[in-house]
Amino acid sequence: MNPRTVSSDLDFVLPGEDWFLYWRTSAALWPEKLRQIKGKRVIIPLYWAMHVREDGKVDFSEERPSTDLAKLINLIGELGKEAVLFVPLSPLPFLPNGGIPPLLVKGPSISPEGLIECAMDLEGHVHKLYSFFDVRIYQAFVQFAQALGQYLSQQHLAVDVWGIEGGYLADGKFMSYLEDRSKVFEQAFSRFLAVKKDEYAASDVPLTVSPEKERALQDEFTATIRDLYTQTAQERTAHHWEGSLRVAFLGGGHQSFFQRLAGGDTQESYAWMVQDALAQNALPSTILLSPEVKQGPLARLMQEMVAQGLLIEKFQHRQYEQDNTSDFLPIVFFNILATEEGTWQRNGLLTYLQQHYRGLYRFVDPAQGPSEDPETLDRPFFITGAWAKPEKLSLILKSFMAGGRLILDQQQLPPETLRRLETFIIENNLHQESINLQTVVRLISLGDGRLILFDGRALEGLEVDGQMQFWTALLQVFNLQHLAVKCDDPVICGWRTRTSNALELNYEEIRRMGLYNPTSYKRKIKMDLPKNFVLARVIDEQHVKVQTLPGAVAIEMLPGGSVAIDFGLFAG
Amino acid sequence: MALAEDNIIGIYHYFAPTQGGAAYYLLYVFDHQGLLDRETLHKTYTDMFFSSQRKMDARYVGPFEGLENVHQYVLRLCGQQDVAHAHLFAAADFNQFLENTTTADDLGVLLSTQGHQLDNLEKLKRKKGLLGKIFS
Repeated sequence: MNPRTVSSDLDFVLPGEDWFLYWRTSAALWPEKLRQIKGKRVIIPLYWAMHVREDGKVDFSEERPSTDLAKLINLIGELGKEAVLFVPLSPLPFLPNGGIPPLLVKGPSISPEGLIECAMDLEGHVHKLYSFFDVRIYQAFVQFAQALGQYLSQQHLAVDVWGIEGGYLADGKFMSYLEDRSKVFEQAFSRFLAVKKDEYAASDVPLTVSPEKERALQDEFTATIRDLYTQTAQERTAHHWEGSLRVAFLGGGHQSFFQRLAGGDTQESYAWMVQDALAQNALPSTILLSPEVKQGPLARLMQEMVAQGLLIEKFQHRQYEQDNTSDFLPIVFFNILATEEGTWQRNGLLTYLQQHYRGLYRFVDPAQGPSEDPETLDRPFFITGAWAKPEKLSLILKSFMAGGRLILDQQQLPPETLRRLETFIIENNLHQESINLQTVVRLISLGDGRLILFDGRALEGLEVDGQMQFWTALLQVFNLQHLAVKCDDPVICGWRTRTSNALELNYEEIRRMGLYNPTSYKRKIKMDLPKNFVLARVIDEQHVKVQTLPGAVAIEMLPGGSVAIDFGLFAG
Repeated sequence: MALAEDNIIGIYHYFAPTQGGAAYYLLYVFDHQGLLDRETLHKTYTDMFFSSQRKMDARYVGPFEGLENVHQYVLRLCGQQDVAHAHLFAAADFNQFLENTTTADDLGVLLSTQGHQLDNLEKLKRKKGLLGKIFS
């Protein structure tokens, strides 16, 4: 695929997923282009450099019509849509210099592996990204955020503002463009380290900086700067602020950069990245990709799972929208504590979930942990022993007592946490059962709450089959209602759900399965329907043959094929 | 296509990845069709240096004690892939090229022609022999 072929000017302005790049067309053409957007919302990523004049002043339409955000937002309103502003909290790879004003271009951002952070846009331009640890960039950002906040208030614009942190996916993980090891970063970090050393000196505990400790401090410093940019944007845009989002740019990162440089990027690799992005709680974006790569199944996957799924879920904040039964929202079965120790790889959980529940789990920041949020309480939450330090025990127990379902791999569990946990179980006379599934599994119950304890070390020495048997047996406890897709070679499968409407009262909910074959091979799939699943309708078959069999569905997908199938779900 | 055929391009860096100590590591190895398969790269490394990659950072190839080892390794790859040349770039050199480039096409030309060139003499001999036969 050639990343330098562009089919129409619409690709520049509307790169997909309802993003609108207002600076890439004349303001006079905005209405015409905006009418092409099918979704309810129009996402407007702000091009910071576009709004800064040569004298450094921030401009919203005083000099250039193409910076007139009020006109743009009002136009979107007139079309019956809602505008959403994305404010950059990091360099953004689809913009020259990552989006910063040219006057601030100085120290390039350097990746942890020593390369300048860069990205190739859909025309083959190479954009270098610059360090957000540069004090001048932060000061200019404060001015920009201040001017934006004032402008939105003065113009009485009804618009939501989200801060976005750009990044990319590498080996399934979200890598932020804020990560930086440039000289600019090192200078700022050395000042941070000096402050830390002073703090430690005051507490009589000397700070010894081993390589591991230094990495942890670098991460802490990066998180501090991330919070600084986020808080600045939040405070300055005040009433408009909705939160911050991570955006995973498909085609970003050096691995994809070199692959694309050689013209070797494929739809298939990006389609899997979409699922990885969802697992990482990041919004995937195809803005860097050429129209040739992002057509067909990938375009449909992005439209259905992102524009009509994830975006609706992220942006819905009004009651009437939550009650809107026509929206299909992504299904999430599991939460997994994101850890660096590789626990979930070693004990086979990730392999199991990728085989049976790919795209249906989310990693949770260790800073958050399990919650008492009723919306997610029935979602099994996997926790590592290393994370469950004594001070985290109250979070675990609160969630458990509220009805949460928690699964704790006890390896590296601090003895103090275990001691307190055992005391809690005895003092409250909690019901417990033990079974032997390759290792002893303890199930502790309290109302709807479930706490499962096992030692994952016993799983690490097992063959994959043994690990899969363990997870299959363990997860039966939760009686999850899911339809397994059997396929020798994997296809991309996306699940969404909505409540049933007045005409579908036989069903408890409607689940929509999207199947996408971005490969150049034919795929055959068979699904045995559980008793409480009924095939309701087949939608928009593209190079796909769907055949209903007694108690099963057989699907044949040609290369580039895609289909959506609705299933009615009875109470189980 | 911006990248020349019959060529491997490698980018290396002396650093300490998440796992393993400071040494030379090959960060990216690719040809005109894309990145070389990671499994092949790691197998070749293990075959040559008798060291398991298990405790190393699986994203990179290494560690290499010295640049000489990197060169030997890349020449082995040239033999396996049956290509005539390799162009190797230290991360700092790559960065310099990148700073002076604005398009993928220009960068591709630089990466195909600059850097430390290694020649696969066997392939070149065969090429020369074939051309000699044709034009003799």
